[in-house]
Amino acid sequence: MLLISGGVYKPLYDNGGDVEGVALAPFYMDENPVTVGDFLEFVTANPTWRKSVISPLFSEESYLLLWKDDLNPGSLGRKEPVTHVSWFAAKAFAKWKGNRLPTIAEWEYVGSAGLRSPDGKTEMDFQKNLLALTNQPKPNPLPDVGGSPPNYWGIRDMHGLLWEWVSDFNSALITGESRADASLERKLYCGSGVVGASDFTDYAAFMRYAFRASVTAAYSGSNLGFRTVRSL
Amino acid sequence: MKDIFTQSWRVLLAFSLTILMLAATGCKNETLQGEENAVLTHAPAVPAAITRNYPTKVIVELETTEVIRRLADGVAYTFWTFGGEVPGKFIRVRQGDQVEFHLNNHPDSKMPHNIDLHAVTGPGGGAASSFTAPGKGTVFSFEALNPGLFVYHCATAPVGMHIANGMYGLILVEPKEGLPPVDKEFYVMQSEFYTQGAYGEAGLQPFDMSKALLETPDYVVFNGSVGSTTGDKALTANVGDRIRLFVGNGGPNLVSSFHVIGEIFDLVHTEGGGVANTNVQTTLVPAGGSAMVEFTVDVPGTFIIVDHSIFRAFNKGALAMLTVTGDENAQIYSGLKEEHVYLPEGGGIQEIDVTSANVPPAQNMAERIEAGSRIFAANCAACHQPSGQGIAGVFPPLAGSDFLMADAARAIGVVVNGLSEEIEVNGVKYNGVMPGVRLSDEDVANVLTFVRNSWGNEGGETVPADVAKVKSSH
Amino acid sequence: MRIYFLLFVLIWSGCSKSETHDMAEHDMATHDAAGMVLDAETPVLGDHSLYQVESSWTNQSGSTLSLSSLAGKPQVVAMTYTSCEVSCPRIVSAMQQIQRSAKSDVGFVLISIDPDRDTEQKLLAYADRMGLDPASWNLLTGDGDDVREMAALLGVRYQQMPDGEFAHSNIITVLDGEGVISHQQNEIASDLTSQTIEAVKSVVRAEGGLN
Repeated sequence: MLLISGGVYKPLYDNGGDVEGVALAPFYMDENPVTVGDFLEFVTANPTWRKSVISPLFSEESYLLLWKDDLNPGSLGRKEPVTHVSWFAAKAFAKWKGNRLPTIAEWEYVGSAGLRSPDGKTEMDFQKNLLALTNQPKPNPLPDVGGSPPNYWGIRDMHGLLWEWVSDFNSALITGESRADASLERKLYCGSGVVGASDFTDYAAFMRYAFRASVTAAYSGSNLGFRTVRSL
Repeated sequence: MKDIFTQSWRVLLAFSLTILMLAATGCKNETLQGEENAVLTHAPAVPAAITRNYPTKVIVELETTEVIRRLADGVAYTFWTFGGEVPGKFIRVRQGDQVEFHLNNHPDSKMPHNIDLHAVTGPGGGAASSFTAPGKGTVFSFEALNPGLFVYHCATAPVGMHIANGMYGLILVEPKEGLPPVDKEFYVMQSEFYTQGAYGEAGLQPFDMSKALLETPDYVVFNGSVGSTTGDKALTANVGDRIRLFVGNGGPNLVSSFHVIGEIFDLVHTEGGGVANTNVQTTLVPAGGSAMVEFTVDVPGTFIIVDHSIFRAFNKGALAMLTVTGDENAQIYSGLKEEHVYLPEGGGIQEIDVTSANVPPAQNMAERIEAGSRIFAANCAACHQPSGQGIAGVFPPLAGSDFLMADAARAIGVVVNGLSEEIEVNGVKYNGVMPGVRLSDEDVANVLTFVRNSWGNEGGETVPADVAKVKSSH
Repeated sequence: MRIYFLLFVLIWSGCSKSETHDMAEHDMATHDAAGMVLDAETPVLGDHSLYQVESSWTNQSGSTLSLSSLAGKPQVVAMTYTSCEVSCPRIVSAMQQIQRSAKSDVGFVLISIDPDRDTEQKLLAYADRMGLDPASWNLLTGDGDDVREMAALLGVRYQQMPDGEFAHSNIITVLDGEGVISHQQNEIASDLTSQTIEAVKSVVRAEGGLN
């Protein structure tokens, strides 16, 4: 794991407030997404998370879809990022490792780093390249982890390879009806219900937020994996 | 307490029964009968007209996918689709139908998607109830209250990008009495694409957000790609056919000036609605809007369908064709009766500004032909046709052209400087104006090598030095 | 009041709506529930009970309890917080209406999404203020991660705002005696609350309770 020194994350959806941002304490983050090999170790040590055993409460049927059986990932490369894992399974893996899932703020903070600075937007064409990466169709099979150049923090594969679970994926009140999301009726929600974006040009971030809003905790899909973090 | 309750209950019941009877007679409500699965079609096909005279429950299944497909010759794009192609599949229902809509998002999709059908009365036009993660399906239902031709599209954030990548299509709600029968119906949908490379620049082109914000597309096309509906893929009809075009505009930004060259629309349901205008030359189709146009084809020939914001047609791809076969009718259209030279005042010839792609120079004739084919597709094919056949009487053919093959140096001059005098090609006279194309010597050599060695032509190689020589002697 | 409502529905459906439509809406509601398939026709693949979750909670009386201790009777569950001024009182009021109408042995659970501020003392004061009978009502506070997990299981989304308030979904969930979700209401509206009352009654009936 690599050290991410603390900082401030400015949320995409700043809820209409002139928010200074979310202050983050320093933490460690996995350099790469969790791999098929890592997850094999986890299910070997934790039988309740094997695909034939897992409770339907904690995952859809597509859990570890491409695995031949409980302890056999079949043709999947051991260095490929693991996918078809639910939020519950990702969380249990992190706990087993003594870690946890990153929060949205932590993930986005690290993900907003460029190659040379903690704020990628100061680098030429950063957003454009990010959008192009995010917009690429899913490669099949997925390449091994570690393929992207390290960002400022030394973290790889945050964009373009796959989406990643975060601990509070179910926080943003986005309906998926993107035009209504700009003006959610206040009466429906406590606090300030108005959800407004702080940066209308960060399309790649809109896509991540839309994806998180589209899933439930038992969801397990071919484009969704995770990495873990640990507090200091 | 109980008595009062009972009494008021009776009064209310009597009152409501009266209302119910009034409602039953006043609304002429049709009852739903049966159930059927909607048959959807890819453009330019349209599902068969509805023959039912009663409403039914219609089940619509539509799948969202993300696919790499051809946008123009040599140019690919990652399209997000409703049904695997752009535009999305055509849906046809009847007013009063109860539509049960199943939206399924392919497991390999990266993005969640939803659908906003402009035919829906309800929050988000269905978008609020159809937000679907990859590998999931959602179901919602609506009653088709209003007849008309409606656009549907994805409304997931960032909504502009989902539309810009191809997520739109048309749903027709036929009025209860149906549409008047015609001989042919076609589905034509305009939209624009914003790519990082300029028009015709080869390779897989990513979406360009800044161009989309500026509303300056590189491509404006019918039915999802340059040349989707031209040449052997043109719409076809016979002389005497009554034709109905279901025209949509997916945008995301531009309004279309929809026009069929050489036809007058007898009838236009402006904006896809109930009012029928007659004798229309060009009709505006708003982004996220539609039109139903009808006309009868009286004479044979190729009728060119364009966005009459005309640079979009000839420089960005907004051009489709309707080929009509049958007997000539000299009364309606004589054909060419007389030819003479005519040059407009101050006949300055336009130049198309084409910036050369940073491609290494061709090393041999094969590479020259390969590179030339793309330049041809981008600059020449709109008029001379991908098949090099041209359009009889309007754009001269290049395939088997005696004019082209007779003189390589003259051909270079035509490409570089344009042409505005009458010429004779294979015995047919042409007096149109061809604009000069501003290309590098390398590109001119490549495109000429291509046209002089394609479709049966055998004209040898033209090299950049030949071009330079012609340019310097001009 | 109820009769007025039914009559209105009758009149309205006579003109523009149909049985099919109502059925479709019903189907949608069941699919929406936390992403789980609740359709009776789909074979149950295993245990959908929320009571599998091993998390520990403290209620307004200071007792520690596990979710599984709620088993044995239907529970009506919502996620709220005590300093919420706008929608939470409406959620609680809808649950009180459900309690009055169900007239059976049904439990009511409010899980705090603001565990940092909602101590057991705060929960007790809130229960007193709102008149929530401790024999039926459990107001729970717990570990932040466990709260997040409950939200995931119930399909609730929530987020703390810069001013300390929370934006959150207004979902009321009916759990059967084994802790399986049998109904969810996604908004506070009187017709939806009526449906929830019916759902509670049918769970009670199915489990042989009094109605």
